Amino acid sequence: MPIQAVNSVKLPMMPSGGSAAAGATVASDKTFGKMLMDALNDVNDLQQKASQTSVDLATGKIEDISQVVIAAEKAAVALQLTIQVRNKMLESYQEMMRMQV
Amino acid sequence: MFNRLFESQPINLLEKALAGSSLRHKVISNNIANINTPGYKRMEVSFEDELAVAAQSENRQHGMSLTHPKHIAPANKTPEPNQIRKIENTSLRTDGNNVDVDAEMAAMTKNNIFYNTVAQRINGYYTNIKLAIKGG
Amino acid sequence: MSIFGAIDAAASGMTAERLRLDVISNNIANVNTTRTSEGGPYQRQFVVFEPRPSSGAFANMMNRQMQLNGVQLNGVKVTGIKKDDSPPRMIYEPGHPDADADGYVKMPNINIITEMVDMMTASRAYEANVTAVNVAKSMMLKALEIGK
Repeated sequence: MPIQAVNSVKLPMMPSGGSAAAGATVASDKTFGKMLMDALNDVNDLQQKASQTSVDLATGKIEDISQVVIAAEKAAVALQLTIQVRNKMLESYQEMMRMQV
Repeated sequence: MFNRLFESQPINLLEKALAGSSLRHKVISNNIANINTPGYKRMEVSFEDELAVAAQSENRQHGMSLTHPKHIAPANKTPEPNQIRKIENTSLRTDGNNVDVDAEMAAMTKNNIFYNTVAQRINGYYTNIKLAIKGG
Repeated sequence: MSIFGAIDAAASGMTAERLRLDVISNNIANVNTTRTSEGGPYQRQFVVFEPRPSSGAFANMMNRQMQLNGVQLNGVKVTGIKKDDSPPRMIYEPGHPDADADGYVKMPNINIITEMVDMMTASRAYEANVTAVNVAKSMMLKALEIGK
């Protein structure tokens, strides 16, 4: 089973355009893979931002400690969510692979 | 392979800041211990500005870059911070001592919080990396 | 205003109030001093405070001014120790070596009750600054607990 097959799965719960009733039949250009990529990029951005506040902290350019802590905490939570989503996806993929057809 | 982990810019700067903060605590303690030493001049440690210069020069990448695998890597340009400076040109009392105990206590409080914050960030950095390695 | 602006401001207040306490103690110690090197009795001294202007890089300062609409939050600065020019107390004491022809001695223009009250306000102001430092510290340490 090629992994690309997952890319073409439409997400019925989040139609990118048209009516919600159209459901899975709507021709959405927002594939699951695209959504995943966006999410990963967001996590990366958050990590970059947290790194930048750490640099600002070390160089004495921070105005308030809460900026550093909150940026870092956002990045950490996003990373944990990403890791859990990845684990669940892998789990379900393996579940499907074990399925008797 | 491990350079990317342990030598990245943020963690490098944070480590230097932690070392600087530790040294600053020693210097402040020394100033407070010498509060009644006639002629004693207070000392201070600066590292934030040095680290800012280091961070900028690293960002601009104006140094030599490796375009061939046989090039020799340029030395780490980060200037060594943690220079101890003596403040000679002031005098708070007639005995020539210039330690202001209130300023030193405030500096110690600030340094304490700074140290805690930087230590927490370093901790968070490695927690994230360990999390990514273990995969949850 | 950097990360430790609150502590810097409170520390400047502590330094200023302690200087005020030093000057008040000096006034109390000299309440009966009739001779000074400049001649005449000791004159009461007092400390003049003013808001401390911001220091540091221009860009940094500019940035701060834009954000805070010109409000300066840099603590207090002592501009100087001034002499009180009010007339001396005249005490009738003909046996005193510094008595004038009429038997009056020029005593320092110090009212010990005023000085004691000033000392109390200086002490309380110092305590208030210490509290401000402690509160700022506990606030920042509390911020570090976010996510714990």
